[in-house]
Amino acid sequence: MRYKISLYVSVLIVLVSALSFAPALSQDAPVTLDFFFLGDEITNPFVEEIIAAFEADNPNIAINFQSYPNEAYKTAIQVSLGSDDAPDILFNWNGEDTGRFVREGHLLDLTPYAESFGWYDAINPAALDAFTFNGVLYGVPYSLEAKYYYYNTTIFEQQSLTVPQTFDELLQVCGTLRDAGITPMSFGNQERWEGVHYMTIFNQKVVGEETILADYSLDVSPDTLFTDPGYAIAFQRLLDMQNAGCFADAVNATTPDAALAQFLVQQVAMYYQGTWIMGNLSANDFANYGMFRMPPMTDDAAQGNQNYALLGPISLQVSSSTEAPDAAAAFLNYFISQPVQQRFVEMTNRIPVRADALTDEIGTPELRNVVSDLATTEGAVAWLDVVLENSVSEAYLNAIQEVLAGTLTPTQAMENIRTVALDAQQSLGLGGS
Amino acid sequence: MSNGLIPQSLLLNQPARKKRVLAGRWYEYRDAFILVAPALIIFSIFVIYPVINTIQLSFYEYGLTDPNLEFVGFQNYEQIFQDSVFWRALRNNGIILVGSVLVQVGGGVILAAVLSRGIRWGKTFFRTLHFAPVMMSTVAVGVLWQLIYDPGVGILNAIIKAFGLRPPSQGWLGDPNLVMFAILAAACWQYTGYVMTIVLAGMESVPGELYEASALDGANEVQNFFYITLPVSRNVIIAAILITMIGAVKVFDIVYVLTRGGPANSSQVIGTYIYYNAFTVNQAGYASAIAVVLLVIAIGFGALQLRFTRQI
Repeated sequence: MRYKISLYVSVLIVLVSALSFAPALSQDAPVTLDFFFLGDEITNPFVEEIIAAFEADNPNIAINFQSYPNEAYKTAIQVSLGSDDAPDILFNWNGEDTGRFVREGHLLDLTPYAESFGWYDAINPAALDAFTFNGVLYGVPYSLEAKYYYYNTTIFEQQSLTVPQTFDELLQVCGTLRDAGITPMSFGNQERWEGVHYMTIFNQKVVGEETILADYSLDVSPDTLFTDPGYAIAFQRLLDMQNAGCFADAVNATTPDAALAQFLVQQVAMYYQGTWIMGNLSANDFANYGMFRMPPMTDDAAQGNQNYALLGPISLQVSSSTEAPDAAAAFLNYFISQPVQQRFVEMTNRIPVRADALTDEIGTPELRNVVSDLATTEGAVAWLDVVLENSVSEAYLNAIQEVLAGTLTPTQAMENIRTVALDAQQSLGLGGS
Repeated sequence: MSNGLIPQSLLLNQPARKKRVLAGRWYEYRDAFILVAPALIIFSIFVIYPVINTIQLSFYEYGLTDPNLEFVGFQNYEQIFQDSVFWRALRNNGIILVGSVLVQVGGGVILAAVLSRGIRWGKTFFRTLHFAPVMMSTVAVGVLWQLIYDPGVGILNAIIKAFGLRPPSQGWLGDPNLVMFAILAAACWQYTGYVMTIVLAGMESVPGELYEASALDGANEVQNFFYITLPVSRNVIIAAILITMIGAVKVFDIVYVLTRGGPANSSQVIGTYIYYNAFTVNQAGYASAIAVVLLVIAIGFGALQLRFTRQI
């Protein structure tokens, strides 16, 4: 999925503030909405606060808030949607994660609500597109998440290092830090998704955005599906980083939480992670950091646009089985209203989906820098594991661990992935199969 | 004609008498049925029905969130035989089984022998100490061992480094060649004390006269162990082996907490692979088929246990 960041800039400039305040809903009969959310110690207090405010405005609506950490959420949402007791409101990513639920009929068509509440005027259009399938809107994005290198400015100053401008310079920075006895980066790939973020941006930079989008859709000729030699080269880039000593030991045995902790306690100099950890850094009073995007690759093998970002929206969606769709939609509307989005920025230090939620008074300088930087990009790719069909995504996730562990070569990894992709393509009836 | 063992009434075959006999038998067993009924109902709801349901679903292709069930016959079972991860998971169950029997039962027997006759003081203290891990939740044990194995702050790596050695660069839980042994160590740490307690109960019941007689013959404690303690405790040890084997077949929690079957499926066991298929890759029909295979294996071990238990 591509996001035109330039649109984000446009929205920043021309955004209307039609949704400044959430209208109180005339809900006669009392209803209770079950709300499943992927939360943490930073986002949960924010959601709890705005639920309390929404309930105060709408006394006949109660919200039963259930928050889960990342991996537990993926299980919980599947189990509950497969049961007779699906939540009314749920968190979800875009791409195949939403597409699957759409195909299976679990999600409510939110298009009428988007039109009546004016979401199309208020929210970043590219983010709304990410949740639109065949012209129907199934999710309301409430935040954008981008991937950046976080670097410890104190360590960089001590080692007289500057922000690397190319991928090769990044490898050189790793070497300098290693020579100084400092572990360059933490990398927590036990849950597998940190590795897939590396491969997402490497595939885009090496293979090129057009080819990967075609392959990820599985709707290309079986003869060419995942055959571009750039895919193996992209894997090799990951190995180049490992061989240059960029990563701390035992990446496949390190959890993302442990990797973040290594950065927070200044055990490592850099950490490639999403903008969602900016709230954790603020909460831990960790201020001596800077951020930069994955640097461009300048060699001939790199066929992609080197000014792309790794970026994806996250959304709230409504179950098609809800008995109170109007109440659920009203809560979504409240969630993305301008005051609530401002509060979201204040409490979580994350990128809002409304440009008018980010002002000079609200949000940290780092967050404003990120938004400004994203505005300079020429496009974006979303997380590979979110976009790809489930079995192909799994094949990628496992192959990355195996390549890092040395049990598969990049070429073997791509052979495995292509085999799974061909099966998936056939079972979905794509690519003329 | 009666052989004295069968009641005369049951040998009569007149219809009227038969009806009365059956009524009598019902009356005779009615109280027993009433007493077992609650357990039978609960067992049926939570065991029998899910088993039948799982067998039925194993012939379908469907996902947890997918409302459409497609009948595929034995296709899921055919897929099992071609699935390299399933065989790896089965092999990993085998590693845990063999390792658990050797370490947990072997270690449990040695510990029990030491506590039974090897030491004269502190028996209660050491019994409690060795049994303590059994009292812990497996999730807590998993988290504890995750910290021990942690590549950054783990005590194991710190000890290895203190001896001037280099710990495995991929970590204990990140190296596909080491991960199963790391899991096995955590499992054995938790359950060796359990086996020790079972075996110790058997050893404590060995008649003291046997040791007195062997002392008169000049036997030492090692000879006592091999010629008296082990043979007399044989049945208890066999029971402990069977319990350990069944535990190894159905292992799930410690693997899930430590690695979730990773890296790259290298530590999958059948239990975690069922979970992976049902909840991660949304192949609930295939997961049901694997569950049925696991059920057959578990029933095999259960039958074995029943047979040996009867002998005991």
